Amino acid sequence: MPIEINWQLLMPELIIALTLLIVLVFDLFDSISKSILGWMTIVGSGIALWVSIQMHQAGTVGTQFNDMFKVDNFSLFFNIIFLVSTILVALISLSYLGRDDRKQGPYYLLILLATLGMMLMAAGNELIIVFLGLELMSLSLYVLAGYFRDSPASSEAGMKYLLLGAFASAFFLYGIALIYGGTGTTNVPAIAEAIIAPNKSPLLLAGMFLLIVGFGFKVAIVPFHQWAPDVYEGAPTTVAAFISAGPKAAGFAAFLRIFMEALPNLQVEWSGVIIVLAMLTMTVGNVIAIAQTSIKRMLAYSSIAHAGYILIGLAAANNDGISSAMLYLLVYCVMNIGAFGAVILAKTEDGESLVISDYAGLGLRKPLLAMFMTIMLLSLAGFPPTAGFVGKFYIFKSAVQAGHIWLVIVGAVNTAISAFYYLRVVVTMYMREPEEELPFASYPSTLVVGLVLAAIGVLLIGILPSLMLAPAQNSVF
Amino acid sequence: MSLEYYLILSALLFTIGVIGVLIRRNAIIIFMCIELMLNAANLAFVAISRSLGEATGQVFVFFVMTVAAAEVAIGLAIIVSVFKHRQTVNVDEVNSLKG
Repeated sequence: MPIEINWQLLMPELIIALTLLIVLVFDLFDSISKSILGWMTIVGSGIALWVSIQMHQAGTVGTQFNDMFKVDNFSLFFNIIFLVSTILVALISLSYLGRDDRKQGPYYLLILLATLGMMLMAAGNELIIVFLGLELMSLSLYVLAGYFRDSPASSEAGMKYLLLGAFASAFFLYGIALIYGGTGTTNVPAIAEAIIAPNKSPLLLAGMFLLIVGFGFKVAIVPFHQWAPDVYEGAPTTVAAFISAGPKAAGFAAFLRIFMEALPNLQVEWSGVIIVLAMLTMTVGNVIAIAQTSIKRMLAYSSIAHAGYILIGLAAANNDGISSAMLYLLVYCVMNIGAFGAVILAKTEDGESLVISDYAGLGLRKPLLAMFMTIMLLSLAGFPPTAGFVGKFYIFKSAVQAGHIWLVIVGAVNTAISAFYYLRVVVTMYMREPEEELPFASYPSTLVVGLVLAAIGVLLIGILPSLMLAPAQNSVF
Repeated sequence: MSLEYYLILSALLFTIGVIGVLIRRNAIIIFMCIELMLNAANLAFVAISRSLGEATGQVFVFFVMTVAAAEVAIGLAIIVSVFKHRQTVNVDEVNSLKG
């Protein structure tokens, strides 16, 4: 029996796969300038993004490969998140990697491979596809985290990420095995059908908790978050921006799809756990972030706290919860990459400015940089009229509708706590005098373009929330 | 033999792997323990697949073995690059990143 393949459904994935093959081949030629590979990545991801947006607007739905691969508005919306992250990260990477040609080829190849893995995770309608997508993404990221082989910190970050990531993957896999044992299938809709209310085998429950542990590691939920600060600090800053954005969204994509579509009949069992994890994650992330002196570690703990806010959407477990979590993930990716981009822009001739006190006096000496940093930090803290406010507002609203008032109160208190450490950086930039004036490296134009795009995105969604809210509401399974 | 025996063996292997990851300090040994956890999952897949009389689980195992091989290749390369910097792969001594 010939298998009919609907190529149009697979377009975004195929474009990314083709782009990464072209990058791989062009990396072989020594005679061309390797920065062209970065531009190929941006163009390829841009085309895939355009195709995804078209498919999303047309409301394309369909399954491929014997019901294993599902294209719907949910997966297409996540494709948009991943591709926007990839384009922004490629833009801020162009100048960061420097003029060393040997470094460039594999870097963009790995970024594209990780992006392909994320797209598979969001479209996986079968646990095997989700697992393979997760591994494709994770294996590329382990290499990226240890990408600067000459730097001991980068190698160490790579090793820590590898050991804890592989540990988490094993939990995830064992969870899949037990769910397979409990239901006899690994197909997402078939699992939901096999779980009938009284038939809750212990295998199934154990499998579900192992899945929570596996996802918890991947998206950095307390108490599975310890790897995140070390990896963000040691990894190259552009890679830290990438790890904090796309992979977290991909983890949540699979998390939402598996828990809302395959395990809705176990909601009584998992919703309590998710609520407790959300509260813990927000509180621990924000409280520890206050004590940080390194800006990359501060952003790492802030990204842990943001995972907690997104979990509120899953805990609400209604359509509004899912759509607001998706909107929040989009907003979060843009503003977090923007914040890391501003850290790269603050580079002096001595190297990167990684301690918060290095930012003293930047408000007067580098007004453009200070403005970008302020926009991103205000958005992360959730001040109007930025996108961060819109994201938090809809997340909290969905939780109120679901009746989780306490969760919203904890979230609101945490937003107040987080304002303290975000604003501290802003205050340092505008109101402190620098101890010594180091000469700055010049502004690379591609990095500024990336930051301008991120800032426009953050302000546009902040002022016109319906621009992205309506598509997100259209995208619930 | 019934399915339970296989699942108990697989749970035991998985637990040994988890304990190994948590208490051993050599990065290579930790990595071996992770492989043990993956193989415990493989055993569960094969046993369940056999008792259900359908092939999904066995196909899954092939993919997991491929992924594990890729993971080893990347993992050992990263561990070698750490060793070049520090002349040790003891995870307690590789701790310059903390705060």
